[in-house]
Amino acid sequence: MSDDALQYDAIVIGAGHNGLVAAGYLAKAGKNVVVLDSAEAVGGAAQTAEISPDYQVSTAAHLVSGFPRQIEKDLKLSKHGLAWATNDMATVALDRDGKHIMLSSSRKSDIATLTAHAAQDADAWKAFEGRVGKYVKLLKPLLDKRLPDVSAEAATKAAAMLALRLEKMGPADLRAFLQLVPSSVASLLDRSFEGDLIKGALSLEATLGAHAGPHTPGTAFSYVYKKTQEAIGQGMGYPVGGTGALTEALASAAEGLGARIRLESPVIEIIIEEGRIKGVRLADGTVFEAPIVLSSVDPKTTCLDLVGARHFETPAVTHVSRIKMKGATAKINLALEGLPTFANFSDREYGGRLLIAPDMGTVERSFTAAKRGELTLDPVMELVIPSYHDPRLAPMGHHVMSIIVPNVPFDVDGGWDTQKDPFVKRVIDTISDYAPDLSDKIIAGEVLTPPELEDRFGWGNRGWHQGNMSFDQLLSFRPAPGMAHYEAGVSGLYLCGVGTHPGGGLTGLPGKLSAEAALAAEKVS
Amino acid sequence: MDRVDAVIIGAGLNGLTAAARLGGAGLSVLIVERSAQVGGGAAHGQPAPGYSAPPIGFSHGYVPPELIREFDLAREGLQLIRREGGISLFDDGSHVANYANENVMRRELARHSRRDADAWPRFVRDMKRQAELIRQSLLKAQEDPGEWSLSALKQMMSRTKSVLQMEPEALYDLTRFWSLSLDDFLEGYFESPAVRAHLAAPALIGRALGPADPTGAAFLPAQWMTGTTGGAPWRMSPKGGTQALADCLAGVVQARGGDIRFHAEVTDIKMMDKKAAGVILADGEEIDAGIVLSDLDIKRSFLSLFQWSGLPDGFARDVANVRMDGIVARINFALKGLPEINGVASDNPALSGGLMIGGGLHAMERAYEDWLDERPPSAPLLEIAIPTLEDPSLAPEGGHIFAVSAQYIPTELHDGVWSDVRRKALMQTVKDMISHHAHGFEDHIVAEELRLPSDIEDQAGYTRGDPFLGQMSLDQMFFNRPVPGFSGYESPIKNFYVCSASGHPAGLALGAAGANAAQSILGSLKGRRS
Repeated sequence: MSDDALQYDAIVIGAGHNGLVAAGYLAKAGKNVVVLDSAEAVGGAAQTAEISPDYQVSTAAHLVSGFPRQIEKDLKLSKHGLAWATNDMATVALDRDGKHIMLSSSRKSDIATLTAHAAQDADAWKAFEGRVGKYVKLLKPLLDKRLPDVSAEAATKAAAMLALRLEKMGPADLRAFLQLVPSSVASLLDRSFEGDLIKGALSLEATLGAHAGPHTPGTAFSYVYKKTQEAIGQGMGYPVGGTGALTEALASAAEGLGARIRLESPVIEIIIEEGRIKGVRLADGTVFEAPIVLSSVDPKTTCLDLVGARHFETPAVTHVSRIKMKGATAKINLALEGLPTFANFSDREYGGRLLIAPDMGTVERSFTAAKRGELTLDPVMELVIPSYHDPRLAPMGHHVMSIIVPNVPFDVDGGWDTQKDPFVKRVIDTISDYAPDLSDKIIAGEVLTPPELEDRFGWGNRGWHQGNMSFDQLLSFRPAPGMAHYEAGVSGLYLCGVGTHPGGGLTGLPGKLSAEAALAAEKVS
Repeated sequence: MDRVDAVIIGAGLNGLTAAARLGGAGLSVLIVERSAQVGGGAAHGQPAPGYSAPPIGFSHGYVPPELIREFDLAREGLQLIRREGGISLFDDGSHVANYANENVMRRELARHSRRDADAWPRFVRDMKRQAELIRQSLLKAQEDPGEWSLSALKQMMSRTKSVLQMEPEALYDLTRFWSLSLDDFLEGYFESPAVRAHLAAPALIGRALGPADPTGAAFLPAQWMTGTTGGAPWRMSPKGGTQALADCLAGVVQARGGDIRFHAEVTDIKMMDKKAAGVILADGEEIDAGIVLSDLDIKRSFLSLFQWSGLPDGFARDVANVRMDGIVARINFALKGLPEINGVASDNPALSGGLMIGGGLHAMERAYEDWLDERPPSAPLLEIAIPTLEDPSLAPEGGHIFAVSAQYIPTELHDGVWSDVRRKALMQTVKDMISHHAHGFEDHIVAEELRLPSDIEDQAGYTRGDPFLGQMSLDQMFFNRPVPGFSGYESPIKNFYVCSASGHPAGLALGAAGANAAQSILGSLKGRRS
């Protein structure tokens, strides 16, 4: 195929993980596919880059949780260089006095760490995990495949199946589930645990990346939803070479299957003729033609900017323009000349996903500050030391640390020009409460404020998910009612980004499922 | 008296309706009341000689017409007064008023936005639809979804099926209604921030929720249960206030053979064979009864007051976990006359629906954040009822009452106690907020009284001062109320029932929880006999 071919079976907009997964599946089915992206490199928000020479880190997204093994197998990603540095990370709730709590594992020694804060929490954790496990089982069949199209005839069968699955949980768990659905995660955790630290850490897990605090109703369900995604992906971890290695493997796999990836090719228009997809136009005027276009750009931008509202029915325009996208985050990446010393840390802790959230009040206050356009005094955060599992990311004995700080306002009081330094200082000081020698070890750093993340990845002020993961934007309402089967309402146009079902994280599922939807529709016609 | 069929702890509205229903079914009933009057939180006090207002409770509430008919309250002298209107006052001098007449209401909205005036009929239609569904659930015990029987399974299947079969648009609307914040939901109808704030504020009062919190919208229709002709809904309130309602109910109880004993404080529940068998009073007197009902909140009923033995472990934990939050301070101002409100003519009919001062939704959100931080809000949300406009009997000639519910007042402060200085500061904040819209307001004040959530806890016994005896959030409503598995008013203690607003439907309807509890008792008695 020549490099300047302009006609394809399918065009994929965006070379992020979902766009690449979609391209891979389409190419595998024999389609002639081109992937177009405005950036200079593939990966979207999952890229690995240098902080300074020889120090590499996942620039934005820094963990993979929920990437199904099935996609790895289908696209033969290991052949294309994907290897896991770890896929069994423990989550560690950091404690100032060194009494850290190990979460997301059922090892006896881990559970014992809970008792240092509250004697009864170890038992409570077992019950909590068991219960959440049941809810995960209930949700999983809805999240790992395309949503069923429930016709009137199928409703009876589906209702019977659902009722039976609910019954299977048993009365106590069913009651608890029905109470959990509208609850805030604060209510859920107050009902379950005593210790402040475990409640702080779990409430951070539930709200990370969302525009929500522990007291926001619906966040209990967010927690279960995230756990379901983790279960689909069989664990949490990162690839050798950072999250960028995942997208590189995906790109290589797609290309190996015959797809073409064209970078520095910003799409400015999706061309519709007589109600059908004709192709796309790049900023330089080049037109690529294909009967099928899959867009991993967020649904709102895709429909309203790239296609244009006039090509949609009125209700669809209303629904799409209503999509809420909120949740500002900052990212800090550090190059370190040695491992910072955390009290009582062993291998598992250094290699874990570290959460700083001493209690729910601190998490709530960071959300309150964000709502007010202020920087909280006590930032909460998620941090990892990827070089601990993957020494090639830094020179021998040196390390990189990757920090996600949620609830950071996009428009901060006083402006980022003046607030950036105090913000970074506050984050470093906070980590230093746990690892006092951190600042001595910093060689270089990179700070991405929400506006900078917005510029580079498009999610600085809009959250990571191209649409909040709230009840009105989940399942059959994701990205909008009538679009849950990836078809956007214009013949040949599909949505394949994280804004579609099942949503958030580096899961690749929206890409896979939308490609399947496009292929299935072709078969029918 | 040595034995009755049913003894009821507390003569609040729910204790009274429970007693009235049980009495009507032929049971001998005794209410034991700690204070000297009926009404509980609905009871009135005298902020100044000649002035009458409830110091604790809200001065209005929805009384289901079914109960009025069942107890023939009109014959007991109950008169209901229709209060129309309600005006939100904003700092920039603008206001939004409610009018019962559709055209007038739309003209009012058009002052803020033409589009909003056009959206009004759609909003009314949707509110009425949801209000009717909620209204139908008020006087029914909620089924326990965890109870498994063939019929329960069938019902679960048919319900699931009906949801799956819904038109996608309808299901989407329903999901939005139950899950969106007030802010987001109202944005789907109205563009004017003032109109949105005006409509949102009443749905927040008493609830530990901010206007941007999901699930807030679900409480908008509560005000629409009374009635509307296409304009704003009106409220029906008893002439003589909630005290008059309590007095009428007490009359019904007595007419049905029931007794009420005052100054009778229950200190323990008498148990026999692990079943409730009566109550023990502070002076040691024992009253035997076949059934014991508690009109106290669920925490007091099970955790604070009585020495239970054999309360199942899980149940005690579930009760302890019920979220009770004080959030409203009640303030009554006895006024020697009606102050002039800027920009509102003194004969504006919308005044009798009271005033709302709280700024826009952002200001309300800030006040909510202050509450979360346990600090006194710099600008609380004020709902001001002026009951005397339609019911002059509540004040001396020419006098008026401003019954203020100040929202987002924490029960405890993060940095100390509610000292006298801080109480005074709060009162001054409230007065300043009112004076901003009514110059010279303070000159009209004859007397004033403040009840913080902590005072309400001390005086009325509501845990943490929660006005609804358990927060009305969706995880604590309907079949989740008061705790999952016990939505039928019964308890794990045989013959002991909770009839207070801790049960369904809480503050949505006055007296309904008590009537429902009685119904559930009568149902199980019938079951036992047959």
